[in-house]
Amino acid sequence: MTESSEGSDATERRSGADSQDDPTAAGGPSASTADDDSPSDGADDPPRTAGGESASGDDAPPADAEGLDELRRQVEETYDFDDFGPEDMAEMSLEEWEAVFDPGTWIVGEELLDRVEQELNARVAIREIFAVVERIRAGEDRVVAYSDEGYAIVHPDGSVEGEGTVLRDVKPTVALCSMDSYELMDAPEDASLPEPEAVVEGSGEFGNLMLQIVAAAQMVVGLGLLVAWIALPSLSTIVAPIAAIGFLVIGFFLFLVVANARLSDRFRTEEFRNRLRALEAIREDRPEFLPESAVPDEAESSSRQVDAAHDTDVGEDGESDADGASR
Amino acid sequence: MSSSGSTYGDIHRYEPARESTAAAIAIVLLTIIEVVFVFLFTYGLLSGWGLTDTGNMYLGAVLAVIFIDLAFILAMYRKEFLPDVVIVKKRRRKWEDLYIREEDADGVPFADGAWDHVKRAVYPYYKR
Repeated sequence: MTESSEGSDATERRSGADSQDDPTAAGGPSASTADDDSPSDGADDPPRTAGGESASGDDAPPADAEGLDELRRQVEETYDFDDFGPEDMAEMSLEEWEAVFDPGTWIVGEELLDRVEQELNARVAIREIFAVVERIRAGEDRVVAYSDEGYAIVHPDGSVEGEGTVLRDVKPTVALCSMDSYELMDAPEDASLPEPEAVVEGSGEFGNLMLQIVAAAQMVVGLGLLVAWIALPSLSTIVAPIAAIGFLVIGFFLFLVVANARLSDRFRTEEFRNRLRALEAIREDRPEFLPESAVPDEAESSSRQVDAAHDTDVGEDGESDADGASR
Repeated sequence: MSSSGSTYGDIHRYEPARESTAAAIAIVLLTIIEVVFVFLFTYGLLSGWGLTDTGNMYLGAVLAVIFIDLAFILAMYRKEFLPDVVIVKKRRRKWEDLYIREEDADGVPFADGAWDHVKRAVYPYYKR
């Protein structure tokens, strides 16, 4: 079996998966996709196994394939995939699961990494993730995201390794990106963390000014009421000092709010700048907790230049490779 | 899932305040209203408006306007005039953390002594 026919088969399966938009197809073992594909696949290519079977099916003897079909039919009768819950999943044996699981419903391989890279960049741009994102094509294709306190490495088969908050933030992104129905966020041109010097201090100073005006008015009125209550014999009501104290408390609180905002702003910008500087420092020499596989080999690490033809070619290969590996 | 290592006080995001024009205009108007009504209330109280039925209601209404207006000023201030900061804090124990392991029954203190807690609450970068 040549690579080209393998590739076209993969494309066919992908388009079959594409046509289904409901999330259950992306989220669970897609029984119906396997169903739809099996007749056509069987007609095209009798010795090959149908639908969900992938690269590793190449060397499986036909007898096995029939057994697999049998098992698949059995599983589809036993379980209702339109209403499939964790209990059903726990009941399933590994063989049953693999028989009906269709890797074509998930995006894997180079396409997954492309999607993950774009999504991570977009999330870094909106500051949901604090990390440097890199695509390393030398050796095994992978996406690496790291900060000064953690890292995550995304492999083409969708597995993620790493530690720290970066790992926690990257994991759901990978899960989302492997789903067909998920639309990626658009990453802006300059999707990176800001320069340490570009972090502006003292934003919102206008708001502080307004708050101070309000606070000053409250203070003046509070003091005035208190003085009037003491000085004017005609004003004997208890309401005056109570209102005065109320106004003074409010004014004091508002001044405190402004002082706290300014002080914490100063500390926080400094802290954020320090963190960005730390990130810049580890960009040059990688942090020691980053494993070997996350460090690019010198020459080939120039990641961004990929011509379109190469891209599509490798895309399909990567996918079938990953399918084989996940088995 | 908790992350390993001490990341206490780390800032994940620091975006400057938005300070949109609409918000600036709104907060100026609200401030003017606030100041006017505060002085109106004081003047009314000192000149004895509260001694008649209608005047009393009027003063009460003015006081209500003062507080509601102040609430909107603070909401506007928080939303538009404070930077957007995401900061790593110590995770407080929740009900679901209780009695997982016997030695964890009291949680992990992140400061020693009450005064140290106060210092850390005021300034998170104190002795990391």
